[in-house]
Amino acid sequence: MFDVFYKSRLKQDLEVWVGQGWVSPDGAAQILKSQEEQDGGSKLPMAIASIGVLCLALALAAFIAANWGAIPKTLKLTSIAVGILLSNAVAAWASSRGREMVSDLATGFATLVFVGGLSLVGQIFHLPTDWAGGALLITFGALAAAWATASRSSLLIAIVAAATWNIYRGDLSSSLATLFSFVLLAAMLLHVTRYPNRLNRAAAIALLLITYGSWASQYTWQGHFTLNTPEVIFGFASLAMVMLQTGPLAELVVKWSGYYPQKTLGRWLLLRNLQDVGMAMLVIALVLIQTFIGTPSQSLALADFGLPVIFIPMILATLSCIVGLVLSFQTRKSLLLFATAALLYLAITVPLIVTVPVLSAALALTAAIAVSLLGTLYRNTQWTLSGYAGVTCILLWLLHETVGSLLGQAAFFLIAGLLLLIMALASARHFRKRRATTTAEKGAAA
Amino acid sequence: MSKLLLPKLSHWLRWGLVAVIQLLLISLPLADRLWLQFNGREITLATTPIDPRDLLRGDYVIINLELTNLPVSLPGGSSDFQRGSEIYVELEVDADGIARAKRVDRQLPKGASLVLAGKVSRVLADTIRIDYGLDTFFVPEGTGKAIEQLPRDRVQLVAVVDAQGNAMPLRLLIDGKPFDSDLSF
Repeated sequence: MFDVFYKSRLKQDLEVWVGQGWVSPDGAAQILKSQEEQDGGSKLPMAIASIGVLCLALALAAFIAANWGAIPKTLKLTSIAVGILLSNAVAAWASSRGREMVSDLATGFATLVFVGGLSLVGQIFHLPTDWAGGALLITFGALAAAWATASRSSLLIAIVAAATWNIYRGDLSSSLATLFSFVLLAAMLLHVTRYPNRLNRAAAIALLLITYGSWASQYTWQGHFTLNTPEVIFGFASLAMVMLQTGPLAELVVKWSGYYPQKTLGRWLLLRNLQDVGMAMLVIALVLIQTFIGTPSQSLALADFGLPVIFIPMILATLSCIVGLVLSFQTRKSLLLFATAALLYLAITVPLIVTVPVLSAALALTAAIAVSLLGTLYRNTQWTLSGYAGVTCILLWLLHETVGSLLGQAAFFLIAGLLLLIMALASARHFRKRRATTTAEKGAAA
Repeated sequence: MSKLLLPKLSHWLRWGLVAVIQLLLISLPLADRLWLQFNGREITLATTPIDPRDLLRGDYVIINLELTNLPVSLPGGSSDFQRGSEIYVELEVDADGIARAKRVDRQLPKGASLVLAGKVSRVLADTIRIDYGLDTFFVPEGTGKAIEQLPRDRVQLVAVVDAQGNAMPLRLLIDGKPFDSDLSF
């Protein structure tokens, strides 16, 4: 779906670039032709093979689950060991001949056979159901395969297993286990930056959210604090702030320090995905805070800010925003990004501290509008759509809830509407002037 | 592909290492269970089975042991056991060959010949509910329901237990005869 957006955007951009003389018409035609050729046809056999391997692994799992008594269990265990050895051997052979996709598939299959082996041992010895323990063993085996052989399919299995461990670890909720969950997460994220893969990036970001959610849930498990919905939303919003700002902040730090590390594709793609997910999460948090818990009785107690699970992301979010604002004072575009992030965070935080509905509503509406404008400025469709969705939800909520009296609400929308129209006029005038100046400069240069 | 961790190893060595790691990880629970099986002592326990299914490991019978619910009136018993705390149940074998609870303890009792270790899962006014890790018994597909429908006095569980009280299920007995002869090594 996103490829469609990209291709549509590319065609529009190419028209502009050809018009400006930056790209020749022949070059543009070559680029478009190359895009058509990369439509995925050449990847079809591998896609079919991937589903085939998955079916084979499911066949193995079902065979183990059937617990067929005709085959002695020593033979079953030996077959699993042979399966692991053979699959890894096929992977090594394929890799030595440069057939990396085949090698990755075989490594992934070996890891699935390894999962089947663990299930078989559990079945033979009637081990009590222990999702956390089993998932952790699978995580180790799959992660070892992912790192030792650069296997993307094994990493996906490792991420799913680590997510399962995080969800089921329950009473193993010591600080050490939490720390370990973040070490595992770092290993996954690092792999994704080194060996880029779209599915793995999405899975790794999901693991980041699950790991944080699992950490937050420990406070209810341990019983000494109980996290309620406002705390959880605020915690996730703080995490989203960090996700949104990490990429732009890293770019600014690099720019100001004069240290230019190699900018790899995987790192850039991950930071970009984190940004997009972070922005969407912030808009969702903004709407949730306003619509579900922006009432006086649900505000956040001051003591809750001291909980590590709230405090650490809050400090990271605030610090990264302040540093970003300071470092971007000469870069208007990133200054606007950090200012919008600050506004969003403020709009999410204010209803939790003070109960002034008009102020909360005005902040929320401004923040959602700022997101859609930022999306337009950055030509990021997802941000624009997130902003529009946020504005729509908040407007519907305001119509439903009625801030103050109906007359007050009428005044609120009147002021908001007028302000937006003035902003639109001012920005249109500003861009007209800038275009005129640029054209004059070009004319003088010619 | 980049070789970050193992830059100088050949393809065969790298994938060989993965295979060894995965086989070692499988052998961890395998070795633990084998050691227990070959070093423990067999006991027979009274049960009340029911039959669900595990996604990866197939049909199994939930073994509801007679020893799962023990009265607090048992020597050493008390209603102030904490949920999740360790509990040791000293056993004695009766005239029918069934191991029954004799007393409970918070620590491994010295000099006791037969002890089962567990964790307190629930404490009621007059009962302590204990989890011994013996409640899951995997059976061939389609046979769990038949076992579940048998009267409880016809089904017994043979488990193996070591000196520390660690135990694992070994075989199910139906009317005193093994349900499946190939359930142990």
